[in-house]
Amino acid sequence: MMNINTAVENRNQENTQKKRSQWFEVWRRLRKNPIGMVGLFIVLALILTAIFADIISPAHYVEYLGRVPAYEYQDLRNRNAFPSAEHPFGTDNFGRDIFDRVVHGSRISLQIGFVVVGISMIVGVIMGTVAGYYSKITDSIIMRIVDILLAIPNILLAISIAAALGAGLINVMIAVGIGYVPFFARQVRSSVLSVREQEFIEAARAIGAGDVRIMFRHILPNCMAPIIVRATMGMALAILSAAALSFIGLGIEPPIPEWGAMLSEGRRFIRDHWPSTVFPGLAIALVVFGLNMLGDGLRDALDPRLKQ
Amino acid sequence: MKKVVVVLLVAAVLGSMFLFTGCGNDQDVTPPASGTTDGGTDAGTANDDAHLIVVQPMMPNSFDPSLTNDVPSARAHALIYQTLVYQDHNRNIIPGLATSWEFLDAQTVVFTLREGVRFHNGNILTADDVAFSLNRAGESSHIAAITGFISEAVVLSDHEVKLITEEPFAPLLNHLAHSAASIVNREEVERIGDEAHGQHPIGTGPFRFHSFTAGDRYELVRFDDFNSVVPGMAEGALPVIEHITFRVVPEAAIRTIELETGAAHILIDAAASEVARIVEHNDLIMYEIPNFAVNTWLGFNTQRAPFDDIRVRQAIAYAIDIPTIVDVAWAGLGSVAQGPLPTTVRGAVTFPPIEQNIARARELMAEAGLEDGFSTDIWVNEGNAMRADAAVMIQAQLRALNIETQINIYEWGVLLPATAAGEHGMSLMGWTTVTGDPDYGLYPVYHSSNWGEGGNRNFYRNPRVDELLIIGRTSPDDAVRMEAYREAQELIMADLPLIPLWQASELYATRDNVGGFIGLPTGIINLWMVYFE
Amino acid sequence: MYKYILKRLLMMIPIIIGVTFIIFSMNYITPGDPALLALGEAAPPEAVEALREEMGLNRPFLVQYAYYMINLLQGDLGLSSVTHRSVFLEISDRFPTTLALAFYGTILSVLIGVPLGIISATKQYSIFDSAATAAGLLAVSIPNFWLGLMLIITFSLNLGWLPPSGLDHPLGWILPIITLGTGSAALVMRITRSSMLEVIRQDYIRTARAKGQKESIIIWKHAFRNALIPVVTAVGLDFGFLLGGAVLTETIYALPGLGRFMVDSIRTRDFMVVQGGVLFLAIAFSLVNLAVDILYAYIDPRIKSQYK
Repeated sequence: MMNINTAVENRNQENTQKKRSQWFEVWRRLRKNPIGMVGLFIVLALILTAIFADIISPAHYVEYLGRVPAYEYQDLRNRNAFPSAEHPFGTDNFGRDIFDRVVHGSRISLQIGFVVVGISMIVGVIMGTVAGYYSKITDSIIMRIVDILLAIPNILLAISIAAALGAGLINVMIAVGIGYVPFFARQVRSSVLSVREQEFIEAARAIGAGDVRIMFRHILPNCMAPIIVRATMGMALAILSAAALSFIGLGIEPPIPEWGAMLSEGRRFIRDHWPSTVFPGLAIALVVFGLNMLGDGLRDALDPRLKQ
Repeated sequence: MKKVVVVLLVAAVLGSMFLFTGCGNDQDVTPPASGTTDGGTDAGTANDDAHLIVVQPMMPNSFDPSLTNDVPSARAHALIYQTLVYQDHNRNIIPGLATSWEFLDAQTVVFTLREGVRFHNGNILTADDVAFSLNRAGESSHIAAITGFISEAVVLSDHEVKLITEEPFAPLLNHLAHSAASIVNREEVERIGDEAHGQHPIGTGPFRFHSFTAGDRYELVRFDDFNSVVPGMAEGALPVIEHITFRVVPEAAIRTIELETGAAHILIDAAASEVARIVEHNDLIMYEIPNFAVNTWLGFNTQRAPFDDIRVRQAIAYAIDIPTIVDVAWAGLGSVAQGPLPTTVRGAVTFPPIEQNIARARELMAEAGLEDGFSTDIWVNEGNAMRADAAVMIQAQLRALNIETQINIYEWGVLLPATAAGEHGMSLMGWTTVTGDPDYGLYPVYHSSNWGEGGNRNFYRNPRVDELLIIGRTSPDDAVRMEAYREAQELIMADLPLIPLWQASELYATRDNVGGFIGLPTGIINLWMVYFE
Repeated sequence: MYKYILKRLLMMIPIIIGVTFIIFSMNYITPGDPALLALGEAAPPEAVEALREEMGLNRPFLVQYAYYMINLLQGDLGLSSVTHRSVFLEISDRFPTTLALAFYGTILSVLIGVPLGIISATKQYSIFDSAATAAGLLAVSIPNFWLGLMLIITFSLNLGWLPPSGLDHPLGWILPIITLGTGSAALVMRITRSSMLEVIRQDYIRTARAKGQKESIIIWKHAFRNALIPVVTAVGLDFGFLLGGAVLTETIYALPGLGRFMVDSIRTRDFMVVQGGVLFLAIAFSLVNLAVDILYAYIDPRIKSQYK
């Protein structure tokens, strides 16, 4: 005779297996969605570029200076050059190759995307799960905090936090990350609320599984779908926000080739030298576009109500 | 019926937001004060031939001279108010509201005032106004660096004021020529209060405040009853221009566009990257006026190793290629700095340039035991693209000495206190000798009593230099002063607490139909001389 | 209904208080001394100290906060430490510009987004749909500060059709509104599309079709009006976001709005202004949310009945 423990475990295993074939379903549906696939392609290209940046844009060796990273190498006799064979995107005000800088910037953007989403996702998910699972009071308190964060305009919140923490890549990521916590928190909370009442949760409770275990092993896995979509679109927003902050002048120290900072530097030459602003801007637009398309495709693929 | 109620509710909720918008956002118009001649000429009806439009990057903070010390405000003050004395092109002191003055002793001077000068509100200038203004300026924290020397101003008669200083202060007249020492109308300030006066100023200057729109622009109109004297204008003359609009346009490229399209006539603070374009443009004239600033130097925190070692400082001076840095970062504008003081200031000594010599630099580093280099940082203020550019080049060039430099670009709010506290290794900062007198250019920066906030962010201390700077500051004998400053500058350049990099120019541009344009090294423009050709 | 509104208004209070506390705390820990900053590079220490005393900066945190709240309750928002002008005046001078921008931007987004969304939905999976979706995603991906710069270059500089900055000329509104409204238009289109799709699938639409009603009447009379609900919500929320988020647009086009002023004030550590401004925006945002909820409750009969 099966005892209840095993029953719950079996049910979980079934769920997991169902999930595995569910994921395959999702992949199948995504494959059929042209927008999602283009987005996936772009994101993969971004990841590959970031990983192989040093090979695509290798460092230079210079007398007296040693090994100089490609995005720092200044050719002062060739400043503000236009695209050519040697410099496919031209050079900036210091004679630095813009193509090299854009390529290495992909690493920064990826970092920003992951860290920001990581921070906001972890904090937001914890907050949302706890709020959805526990009593009214805890829920109220946590959601009021979320409301307060939401009431403050996003950019201003990020700028305030960045000003309070000081400049620098990491602080910018924290500042932007905090602003996105409410979105994850709300999303997770409503998912948790709907899953909470289901039978298998009651069963788990009946056999004495602890709250934390229930929240994170049983409830949460069922809410992953919207979280994933949000995470993807969140990465896109994070890159945009970080670029916006750099553009205003807060935070990424030179010579880090962050795309928003490159836009800000190139702004002065906008009338005479379009490559300084066009290429970084295109890079941002392309990557964000890809992430948004992927997120959109995932949303459609994960939507249980869509016909096969 | 329910529908209507709901709609009204929604409208009410939304409409409550509009309550905060007040009655439109314009026109903080100066109200006519008691006994005025002319309260509110409608600036809009001035004819276009006499309407000048100026674009600049920032809005003045306040129109009251005791409440702020920023340059855009000073520009406005110079048009609205007058000072006791002025400085001419050759840095000589000429009469302003004071027709003559006499030093009773090293700490006391009596000014005789011009008679019958009218304020914008119709009041007549008396010694009471002058004493009030000077005392007020002396007490203000905001302009303490300029007017802090004032101990007390006393009324002697209707047209005589006695000024007493705590200690003998040689550059006294230069400081009184600064717009921070502008003369205000006591009755007006006491009537409406300091803060309100900052938005409704009353002065004796050739232009009268008309209105401002927060963050966007402010308007001045000609004071038709002007009967005082300003530099360059004959007695009894009035400006040709009747109406000036100062518009704020933060983006440099867009400022130029406004000038090109004729939407503006004068542009203030052209960015270095715009200069070439302006020079080439047929309808525009570029003015490059060397100003009172050694705008940027590479400063060392001499209290922090290894910058306490003169050899390291010298090595760095030899390692960097100053002419190239200046050429690239500042687009060939201004000039390579030739000493601690800009050449426009009296008594400035020029020193031969430090030629780049990497071999020698490495020798020095080896002598100091640092041939393996070290890590440090260089602090730059955010918003100054040219200094940022210079920092990037310096960073690259210092690699030759194995010095790894991290560039910290911080906004002023962080940079000022941090450098005052000595958190930096190196910094790119500068100094403007606003008074044109060497005391202001050297004392705050090099005297050891000013470590930190006072202006000596290099934490430099040389007892002999301290002595010399005090002599310069207090001696009534001009020749003694200049000699003291000469020796001080030589010692400073030998000690190298900082490496002067760039002497700045004020960059103005005008349309070619603007005549009579005179910009001063201080960044102030005598717009009363301007006319349309 | 009135109880609901009252309840919501009351709930706003703790949130607003929370906002003031958070911003006050962030201001407090932000490095940088407002007094030193006001004086600049030539700051004799006695003068700095005197100014600090004047500004009340030497008092402990809670004391400062208490003073602030007491003044706030009397309607006194304090003086700007930079201009010495009343914070209330500084804000109310600039808010209309931001309000107008957000308003016109929202109108533009509705004018473009709603029709495109409807067409997309009625022609689902067609080329038009894919193209519109892609265009929509692209619109939210382009960094709007970059878009702004590109627009200025093209329309102001090269073509000379529009003024590059400032609101002197009525034409000066066009570029900022486009820059601001593009992202929102895409959002509105998305929501309209998915909402219409929802509705079109409903049974009563099929019934109407079976009854032989004309397609265009079906779309307009039945589908659209019901699909309107989520769209109104989204548009309202978006308007709230635009109020706070126009910072970049205002910076690029040199518009004297509240967003840009906030950023400048954070830079100059003008804390009273930052406090007042964020408070203001938070209240405005909450009011907009409330208005949207009221409208939503009114339009949707299902919810309306809940509040009878």
